[in-house]
Amino acid sequence: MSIHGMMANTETLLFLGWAASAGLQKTAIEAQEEVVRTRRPCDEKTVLSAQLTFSSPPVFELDSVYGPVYEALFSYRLDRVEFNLVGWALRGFNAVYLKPEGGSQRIADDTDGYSTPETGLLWEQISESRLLLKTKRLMRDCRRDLRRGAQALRLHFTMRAPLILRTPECPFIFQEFISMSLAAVNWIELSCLVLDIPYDPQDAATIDEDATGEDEAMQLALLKEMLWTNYASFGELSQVPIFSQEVVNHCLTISEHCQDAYEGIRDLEEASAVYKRHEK
Amino acid sequence: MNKHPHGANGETLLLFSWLCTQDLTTQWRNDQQARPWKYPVRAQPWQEQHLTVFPEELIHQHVTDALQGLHADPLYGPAFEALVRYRLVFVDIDRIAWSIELHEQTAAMCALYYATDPYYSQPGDYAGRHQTTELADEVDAFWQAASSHEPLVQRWKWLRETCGGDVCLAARYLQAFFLWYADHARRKLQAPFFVWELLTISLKKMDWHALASRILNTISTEPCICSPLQAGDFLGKPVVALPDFAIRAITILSNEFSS
Repeated sequence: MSIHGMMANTETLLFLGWAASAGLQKTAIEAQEEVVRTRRPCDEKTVLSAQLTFSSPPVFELDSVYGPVYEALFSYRLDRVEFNLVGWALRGFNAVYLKPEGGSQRIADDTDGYSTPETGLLWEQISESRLLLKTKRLMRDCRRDLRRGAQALRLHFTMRAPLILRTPECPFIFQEFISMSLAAVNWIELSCLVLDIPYDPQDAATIDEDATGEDEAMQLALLKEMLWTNYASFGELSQVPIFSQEVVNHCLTISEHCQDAYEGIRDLEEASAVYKRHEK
Repeated sequence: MNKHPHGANGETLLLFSWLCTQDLTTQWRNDQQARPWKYPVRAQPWQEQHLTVFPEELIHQHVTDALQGLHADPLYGPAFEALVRYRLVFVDIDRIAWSIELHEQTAAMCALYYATDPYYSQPGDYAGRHQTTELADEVDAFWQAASSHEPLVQRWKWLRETCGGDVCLAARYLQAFFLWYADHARRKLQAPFFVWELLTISLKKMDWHALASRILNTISTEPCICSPLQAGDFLGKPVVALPDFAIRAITILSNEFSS
């Protein structure tokens, strides 16, 4: 039997790398044997992606506000995986090489009028949820400066990614797919959408979104905001009447820790000791 | 052009999948500007540019950059890097390079499929060029880095004093500690996923009794009755939730609680 080399995109090769390390070759072979036995076609996507769900902790379910956002960004990438290629490569039926999709092919994708599909996807998630008010407030804090707003949005959604992504319990493919999606978002365009002003690609080209001068201050502001929000959120949760006293105590402990951390960082800020460059 | 299919082990596919997420196009372009003599030009105007394969030196550069993240750990960073580099010997970097096709830049000569045949688990080699190693196994790789690393000398002394000549006890401490510490390091240090995956593979293959023997400088004469430790007992757990012997191991072997 001859093995052919088939071109594959980044998402397919990432999934293949994960599937091989997760021991899914056996699953792919058993699925194929089932096909031969029952003479029913094999849905590689169902077989292989089910293993991903089965082997993972709840990544998106724990946060009802942000969870759906990251799940949408992840699912967009997962839909681009060519599962038949993954199945073939796992079983040694065919081989794969990297041929990334070029710019023209991405333009051919259905972007619904947005500069990238990921921008449209994220905007859809924001505009249909409580996040709209939050992002509008973020932009207001940036005094409607598109560059600062774009930086703020990028940092906000990068830092809000579920912490469980960075643990060994969570397959690396979750973090990689979400990072790829976030990297493809046009944050300038997203800022315009939040501010409800027209987006001009020509203007966007002149805005240096990656200027790092104010990046430090923005990250610090986001860190403090997260601590304060969690202090308040866990404090509120401790008041929920259905929880046992032990659960209430845990919530209060976390809330106190967040408050202590917030005040500690504020003290460090006043002493100009927040950043690594301040360390001697 | 037909691609030559070749089997690839899990480690090779892991590195390949990570490389796919990097900006290889820009890296290639920068390299072409920096080293134009390595990229053949058209002899005649009507000839297609001869596309070469992706330079494997660029892959080695990527890997070196990726391992920098481990340097932020002054205690076990060098040992972890040694374990990852040992695993990288089994990666077929040449064939990864030959499996990358970039538009108008590189041509792929090869395509990869997953293979568990022991042939593909040997150090990567092709036509006489070998990624070889003088290290016998993971214990060798770890000990070569850790035995001479000054910050760890006191740790090994404490382990010897605590365990005496009990190799099984020291092995248990070491395994529990590194199961917990690798998880802890992953949350703290910035390194790509393939570094952690390869480190995990090396730690799973580690012969903890052999390592313990080296540290204690003794060979156990008693039959080993150790039961294997379960990773789930350590991953994601705060220190206070760990078994007592694991807490003791952490106290001896890390900066977390030691004076």
